[in-house]
Amino acid sequence: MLEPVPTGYFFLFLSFFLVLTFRLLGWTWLERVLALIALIANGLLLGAIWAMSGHLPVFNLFESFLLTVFILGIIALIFTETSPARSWIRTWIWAEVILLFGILLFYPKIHAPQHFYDKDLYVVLFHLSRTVALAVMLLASGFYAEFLRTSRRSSSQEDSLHIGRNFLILGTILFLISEFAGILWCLNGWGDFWRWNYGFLSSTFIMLYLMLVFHLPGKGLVSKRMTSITGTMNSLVFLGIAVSRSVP
Amino acid sequence: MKPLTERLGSLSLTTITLSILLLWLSGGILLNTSPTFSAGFESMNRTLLSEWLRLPQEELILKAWFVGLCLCMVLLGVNLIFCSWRRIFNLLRKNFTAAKALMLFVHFLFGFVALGHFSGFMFGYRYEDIRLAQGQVFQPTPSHGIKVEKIQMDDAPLTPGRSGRNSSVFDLNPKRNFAEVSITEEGREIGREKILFMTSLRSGARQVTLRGFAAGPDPKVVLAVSNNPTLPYFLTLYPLMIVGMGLHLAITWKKKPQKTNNPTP
Repeated sequence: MLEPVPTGYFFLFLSFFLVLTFRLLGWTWLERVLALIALIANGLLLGAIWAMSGHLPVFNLFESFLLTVFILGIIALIFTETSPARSWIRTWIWAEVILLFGILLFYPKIHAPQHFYDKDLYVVLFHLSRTVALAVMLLASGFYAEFLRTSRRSSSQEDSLHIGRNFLILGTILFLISEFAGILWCLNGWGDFWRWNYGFLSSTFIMLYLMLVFHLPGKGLVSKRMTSITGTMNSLVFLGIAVSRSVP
Repeated sequence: MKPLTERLGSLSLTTITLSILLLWLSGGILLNTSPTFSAGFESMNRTLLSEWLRLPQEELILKAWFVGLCLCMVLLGVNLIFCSWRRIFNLLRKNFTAAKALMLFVHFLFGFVALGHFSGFMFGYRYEDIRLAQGQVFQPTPSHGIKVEKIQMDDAPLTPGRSGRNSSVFDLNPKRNFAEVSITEEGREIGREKILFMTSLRSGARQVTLRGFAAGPDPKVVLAVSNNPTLPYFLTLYPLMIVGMGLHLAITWKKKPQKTNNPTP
């Protein structure tokens, strides 16, 4: 008998793969319809995981990436252009979704076990804000990548750079909220707001990297391209650290 | 040639310092994952760093790494001061906008948050892995005492094998496994509370946290006892910084129309 959660995962993987394919072929209407179906299915799977586990689906990489895809997909449909001829942002985002599903191939398709601290406000806020921050930063990287693609043309999309910056700041705020919740969690559980361990050091790495993106000097094209490159890379840095943290 | 003050407050210096910090931190992450230094990092978690730096048995490489990290942060702080100084004058003299003022405010707050974070490493006290049976007292300072009034253990007791996160400890039902602890000042009780996982006893800047239970014929609780005088400021300024960033984002969400040299309307 088929296990519902892994089956749901593979169905979503295939659906989003088709969404990306339709996007690349320029079949926008089909892409949009299938993306909506995939997102509804994604939402149902998350709801089922929530019901089965008794906690928000944010406590392991499998759950949190499914939620990241759900949030990213919705904000991508709201904030990005429909036509692939005008913008590649959504193409980039569907590719990111495929990357997330690809990473999950190597992880068990199960929900996180229950713990007594699953309902603690700070623990939930830490995981939830981090998941939403990742989704928003992945969206930002799409805008930065679009600017990079068009920056040498006369029709350079300066707006993409500004929107990318907006979403990256929003992602940073969500990340800081998650860090603050983590500080309170640590304070309550360990008696101090900081630990010298991989989790804290890697979070500081993300924060310093974000600071670097926002402080690159200059206003010319080279500087803007550098900002775009580091801005695009940011989501990969965050993703890489999220994956490395999930390795036991 | 640019004057020194301008260089010290430049964005180029910010970028260089942040790049060095990222490399330095990567080195720290590698050290942290290496079995040779993991005990050293555990030791950093157990004591205040002002004391840890003076411990002769600790690894010199780890101390050098920490001092290097502090020096990078000092350079970033100097950069922040000079940059903010220049921007304050610019703001007051000519280009005053709410967005710029907010951004300056956020930078100030960041400076204070970083300072509060560092102060937490240096001031107060921290004792981890304090094992006390019912009725026993621990004195972090001559005038203060922590007394375990009662220990309640219903689940199988599990001793944390190491400092830091221990899943088995966190799997104990907090409603059935707890301790009642009192805190005294000059022999006078100033606080008494039931402490359980994720619920500590707090009295001013002092905190008693339940970290686990030690099994045996005479069951004990494992406590972390700390005092961080800068913690309230840190916990106030951090969210303020986030709010400041949020306001700045809201103000600057829409792109300003670019100025052109074309005089025609």
